[in-house]
Amino acid sequence: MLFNSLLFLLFFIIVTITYYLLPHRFRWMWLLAASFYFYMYFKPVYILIILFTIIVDYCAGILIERADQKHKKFYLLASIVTNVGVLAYFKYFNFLAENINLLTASFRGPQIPLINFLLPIGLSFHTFQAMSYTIEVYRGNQKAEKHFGIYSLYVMFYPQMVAGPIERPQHILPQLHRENKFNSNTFIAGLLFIMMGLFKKVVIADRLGLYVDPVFSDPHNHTSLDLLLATYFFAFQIYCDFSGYSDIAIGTALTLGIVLMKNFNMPYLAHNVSEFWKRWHISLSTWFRDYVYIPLGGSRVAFPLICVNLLVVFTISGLWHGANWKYLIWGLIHGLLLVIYQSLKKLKIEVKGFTFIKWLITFNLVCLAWIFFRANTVADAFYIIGKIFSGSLTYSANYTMPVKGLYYCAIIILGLMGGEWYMRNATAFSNRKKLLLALGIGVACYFFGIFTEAQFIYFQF
Amino acid sequence: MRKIIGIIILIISLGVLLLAMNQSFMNKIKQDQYFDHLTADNPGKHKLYYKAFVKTDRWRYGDLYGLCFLPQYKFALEPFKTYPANNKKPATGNILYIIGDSFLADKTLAGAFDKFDNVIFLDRRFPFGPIKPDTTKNNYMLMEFAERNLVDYDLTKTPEIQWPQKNINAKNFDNPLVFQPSSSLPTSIPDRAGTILFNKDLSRNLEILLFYNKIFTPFKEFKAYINYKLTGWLPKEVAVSSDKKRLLMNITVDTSYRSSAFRNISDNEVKTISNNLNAAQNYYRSIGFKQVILSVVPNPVSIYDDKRMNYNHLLQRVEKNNKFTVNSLFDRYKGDDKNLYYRSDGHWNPYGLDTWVKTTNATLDPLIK
Repeated sequence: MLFNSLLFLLFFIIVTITYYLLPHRFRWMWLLAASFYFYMYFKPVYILIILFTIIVDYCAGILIERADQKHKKFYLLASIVTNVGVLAYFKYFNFLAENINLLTASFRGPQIPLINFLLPIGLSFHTFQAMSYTIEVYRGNQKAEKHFGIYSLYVMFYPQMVAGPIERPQHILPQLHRENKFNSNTFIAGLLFIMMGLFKKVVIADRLGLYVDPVFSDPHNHTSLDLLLATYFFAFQIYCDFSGYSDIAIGTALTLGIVLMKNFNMPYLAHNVSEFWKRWHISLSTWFRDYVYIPLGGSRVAFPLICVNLLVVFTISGLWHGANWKYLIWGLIHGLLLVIYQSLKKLKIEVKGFTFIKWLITFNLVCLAWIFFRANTVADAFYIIGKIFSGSLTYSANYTMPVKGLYYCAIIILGLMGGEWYMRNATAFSNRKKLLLALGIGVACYFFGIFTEAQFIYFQF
Repeated sequence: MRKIIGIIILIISLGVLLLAMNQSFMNKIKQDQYFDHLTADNPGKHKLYYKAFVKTDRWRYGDLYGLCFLPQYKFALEPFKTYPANNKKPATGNILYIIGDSFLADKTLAGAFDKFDNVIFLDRRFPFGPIKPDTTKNNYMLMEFAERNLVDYDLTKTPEIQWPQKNINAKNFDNPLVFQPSSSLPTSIPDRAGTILFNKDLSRNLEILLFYNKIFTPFKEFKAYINYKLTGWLPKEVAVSSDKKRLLMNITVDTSYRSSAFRNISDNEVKTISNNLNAAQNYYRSIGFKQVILSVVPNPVSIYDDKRMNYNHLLQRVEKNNKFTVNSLFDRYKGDDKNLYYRSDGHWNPYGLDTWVKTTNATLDPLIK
């Protein structure tokens, strides 16, 4: 079910009202049933995959808690292997097989048959959330959850199960246990978040998509200027699409009295790539920091090893986004940029001031990497970069978007920046102000939004 | 108080959701909405059901207006002339079968052609039975196409020869075939529940239930107007002609669609289309038709906006390349000063149909000795 659909609107109303009408002891059941429906609406049979990992991780959590140190590790490994195995099979099998087939085809070797299925939606998100549970139990930061229903809800909580934020058990499980009484402050704040997210999705992201999608699909028939604009627009399209989703997820959870972690913090204002990753998809970057980078040695090891670790983490992060060389390169570029940044820091080459220039360089480097992320293939990405630098400044995409449409897009992007700055403390606004803002944003969504039920970009991951 | 309001909202929401899940009810609404503006007012129309669910502007002012709601293209559709059967006319022993598409659907054509006792229209878009011409009559076949539908025409892939049980001929043909959307559900209870609960059309059904009513038209028009003014944006199904006088189907304009009139079409592709048409002709002749006639209705964009980009002249190229009689419309339409197509719809207007009937008569008459 898509957040930007009428079905979700009705689903949200029914689920939220019933939640507050039910006594506390039944609420988890209701939320779990709603989450099942929410997920099964995409493809009912895929619920079996989630159920399988839920059962494995639930048992693993209890066994880890009870076991001695030696067995603890075994149960943790079993849980991780199961989760990564499911992810690898559904997400990476075809990618691996295709590449092996390419190699073997050169000497007429045997071909691995590909599997024909749709990738289960949000698989990477709920698998990572499930893994964080067993790891935290192993580390002793979280007690094993004995209530199977609550644990299932931790993995399947519908607002964040398909595209995050990827939560930690210490943060969410206590909230699922406690009785959440209706609170008009959090409820209205939730509505405001939902509206802000919807605005980012239907007014900005989907509008920019009208230009970005056809241009990136056919780069050979577009000029440098078309491609350059598409690259900048994509940077904002993906930001509004993904942070819009996160805002709706955070808002939906908030209306139920549950607080989810912040996932974005105005990332395009970053002055360096390190800062960008502290502001972009925070729940994923902290996941990689806590469960991959630090266990690899973090910043406590020798500098060359730090660089290797950064490259490893960002390559995995790239692959996490999708089984394709373009995502791997995208991750590698960010890894390299971080290595360069850390090297400059290490060599104490630091330029004071020039904030605008630093911001400009960071933003453009991030956009350059986005080309690999968005292009259909790696070859297309290199072609686009080459063409952008060839420098033809004619605008040829008039049939895709008239020039006045471009101005409009530029204005809404500027409006987004200003709006986000204004809304950064929105939870502290009075209820009246929040309600009025939510209403105003809702009206703007109707009149300026594009309701084609375009899927959220991050759903595919 | 808060609880009571919550319960009321909950009940209303559940009611709407249940209605949207009832696909046969939704199909009935869709059909009634589509035919509402084509049928005369009757007392039944004033019932609550009609007021709440059927009264819509989705079709009343043209299918393209109903997709974009641009107020500057809100033109009432003039009714089509009917050609009822003329029983006083002496019998000719000739029957005309027309296999066509939306241009001829829902039209009364029984008496349109002087030298034919009857006209049987079969809508290519939906399955119909195998055609078994009446051997005691002279059977003629007219294959009508919209230009945009020529590209992917393949006899073996259309419902034309995917036969259900019923044979169609002049003797047993009583009613024109009207498509009845299927509302059959699977027989097993879990499958049935799955089909209802996870119905992929739920959002679309909700939109029809909640926002298709004509009371929303002013809001839709305002939205369409400001979006078009500010950004030049239109729904992807619609384009505006270069002279801004009419709406066009975007699939006939945007070159990324196969049916675009401006997509570069190679001679080989034209040959394939012609071969497919010739195969259809051979097939229909083999089952007993005396003559097969081709009649392609030009896209509005080909007549009124062909200078927009490089027009591919598909229609004329196909007409030149096939081996059977052609009821050629392009030059006749191009040379006509009067408007032949609705400005807010993808189809012809009454004058366009009337012109087609006259041209078709002129083509058919010499064929009949």
